[in-house]
Amino acid sequence: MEVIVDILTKSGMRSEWHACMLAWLLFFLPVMLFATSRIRAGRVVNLRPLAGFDALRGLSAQAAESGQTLHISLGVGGVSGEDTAATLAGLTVLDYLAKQGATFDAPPTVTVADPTLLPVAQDVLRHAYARQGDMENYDPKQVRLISPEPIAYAAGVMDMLGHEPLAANIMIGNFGPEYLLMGEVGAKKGISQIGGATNPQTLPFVLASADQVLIGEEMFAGGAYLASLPAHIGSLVAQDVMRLLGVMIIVLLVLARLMRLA
Amino acid sequence: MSLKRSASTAIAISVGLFVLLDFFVQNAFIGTLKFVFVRWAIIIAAFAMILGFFNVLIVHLNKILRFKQGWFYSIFLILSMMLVLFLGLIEGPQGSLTGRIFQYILFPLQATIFSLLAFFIASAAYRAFRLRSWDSALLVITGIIVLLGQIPLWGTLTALKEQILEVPVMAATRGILLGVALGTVATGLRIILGIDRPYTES
Repeated sequence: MEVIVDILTKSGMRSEWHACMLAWLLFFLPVMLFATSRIRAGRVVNLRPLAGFDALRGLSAQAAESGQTLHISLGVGGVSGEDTAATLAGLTVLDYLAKQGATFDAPPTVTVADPTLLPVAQDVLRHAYARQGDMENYDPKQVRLISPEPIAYAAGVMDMLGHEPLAANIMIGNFGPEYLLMGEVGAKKGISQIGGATNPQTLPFVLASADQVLIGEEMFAGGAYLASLPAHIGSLVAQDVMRLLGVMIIVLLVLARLMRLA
Repeated sequence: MSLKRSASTAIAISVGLFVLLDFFVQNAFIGTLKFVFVRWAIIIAAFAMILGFFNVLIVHLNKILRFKQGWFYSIFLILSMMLVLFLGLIEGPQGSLTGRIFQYILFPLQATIFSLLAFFIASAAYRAFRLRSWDSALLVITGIIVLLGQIPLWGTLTALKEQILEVPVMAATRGILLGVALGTVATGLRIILGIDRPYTES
């Protein structure tokens, strides 16, 4: 690894840190591709159960039976910033629930805060109906832009949760403290809630108000758990390998520092 | 794979690679190209705002026309939206009237809603601190220590609070952040390699 960093630093990198990051990325990539190819070849990977994703299964059927709808919040992030990955994790869940909704004729209501996310979410819903060959029932108004301001967005969602008949409230994406404003309304109304956030400051609010929680990286496992996509399962394997490597490096560095001090 | 899909995938992959490369490498050509791409993205995002405007308008007009619950408030929403848009178009975003609407109406309203958070935290804490298992008992004990440790009366408790926040809480936070970073890298790589294509028909 040190050799790679040295070569990269000498070849016009911005700094040694950038070289380290690129080396990390270049190591991550083959691990991910190798794991994906093995999974495509038939290698079975056992995924530990995640209650958050298990709870998502069957929600659309429940909504159809009760004549209610599902609310999916994709958070206050968009698809053009640092929080894009968290938003995409929410879109993966939306993709699954939209397909289920199209099958059971129970379309979810989706709320977004960032205008760049609006056409993407509408497209996910449209694809689900197109795959089902049921474009007459596709309604772009099922995706609503509330407000680009996080607090105003929370106020709009609070009103929805308080007054509309909802079977469940799913909030997966990038959230700040405004999460609790929405989550508490849902919890007080007794709506079944599934929440997911990546921000450590928001996670206590998610844990306090949601019935099922997706903590941090669990959010990114949607494609593997809900759709069994080989590339997504391969990514999980690569993440585990890289985490193990990261932990080993941290432990070795701590030991080295301790030995030098001793 | 259709031509339209191949073209959009090729464009997305090459633009993504150039922007990523600029993050790592200092090169004038790549830097200029990245600057152009980012400017294009800003322009496209501005168009998304127009789409958003029409979405709000259609959703609330639909609510009014069908007399759905809360339709009366939708009238105010549309009127306010049109008024701010009209003023913004006439005097520009830095105009005095537009500025006053933001300063004296919108910001105080947002502050009011945000202040509700204090009460919501109290009710959420009440639910979270109910003793139902060993986990919740541990949460309650830790919560009490951290709460009492804020008071500068008992030095031992304050030191214990600092220890809790600096060691186990920091370790858990770093663990979560490490996992999120790995998840973000995996998501980014899948998109740059064209494995995931949220920008094209699947």
